[in-house]
Amino acid sequence: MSTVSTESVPVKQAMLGLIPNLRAFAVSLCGDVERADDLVQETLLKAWNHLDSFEEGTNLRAWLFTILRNTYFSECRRRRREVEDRDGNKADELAVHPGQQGHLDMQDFRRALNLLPPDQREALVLVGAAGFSYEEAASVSGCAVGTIKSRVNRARSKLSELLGVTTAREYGPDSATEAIVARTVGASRSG
Amino acid sequence: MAGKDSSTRQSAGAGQLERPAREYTAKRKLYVVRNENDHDNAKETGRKRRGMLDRTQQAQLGNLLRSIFSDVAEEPVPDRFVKLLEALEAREKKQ
Repeated sequence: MSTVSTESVPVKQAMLGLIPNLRAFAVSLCGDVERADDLVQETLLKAWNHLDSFEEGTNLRAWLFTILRNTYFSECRRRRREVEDRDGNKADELAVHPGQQGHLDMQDFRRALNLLPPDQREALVLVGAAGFSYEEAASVSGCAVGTIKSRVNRARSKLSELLGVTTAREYGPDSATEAIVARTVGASRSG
Repeated sequence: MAGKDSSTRQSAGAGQLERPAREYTAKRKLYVVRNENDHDNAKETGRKRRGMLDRTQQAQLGNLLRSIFSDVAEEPVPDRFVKLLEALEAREKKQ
């Protein structure tokens, strides 16, 4: 069909159509809307300048996601120190606010997601939210399918572990949870 | 995939971003919490591992993950990107 054209115009239009997806991926990866939009902008510029290296007919979304995640991860390496400080505070908040019993709160969830190692968070978002197959996710992340599977599994159990504190439902009313939290705070101060 | 270009293909080292010291701190605090919780129930829960979420909560977790994504994906394209693509296209036509 004529849709398999060598004209680059359809690719550009498709790029525009994929921006909402790119933004969603970027926000899920870095947890910050402004930074996410900067990532998207950089991705679009890089993609534009490298359009000739995109093979028409292949998965444009995966290609753009690849550029975005590579941009994100190299930025992460540059900003390592800064991120370390910020995440340290997040860890404290999460540890002392286990949330409502039996209910996974959106904010707790965001915090827990941000606490995951970036490669695990990426795998989880690609497969669990963006709807990529394991194979596609592997090609985006530049690793083996088995690696993606294990990252997704580790991400899930890590999230469960981080949010597992909210399963206090089984163990009685709030007072029990509060007592535990109080002890935890004490323990973390002395330890 | 256009994988050869080094600026658009640089995936190695993602795993190294994990920072063991910080991870350990977070884990240790939470571990104390779970340890208290699990004290009486370790046997009863059978195959269910410590700190694991039940089925409802796992489903909730999946929904939260998808909604973080789709909340943004359903927003209209911000003007700055429409303008950016227009500018790029205009620049190209001049050349």
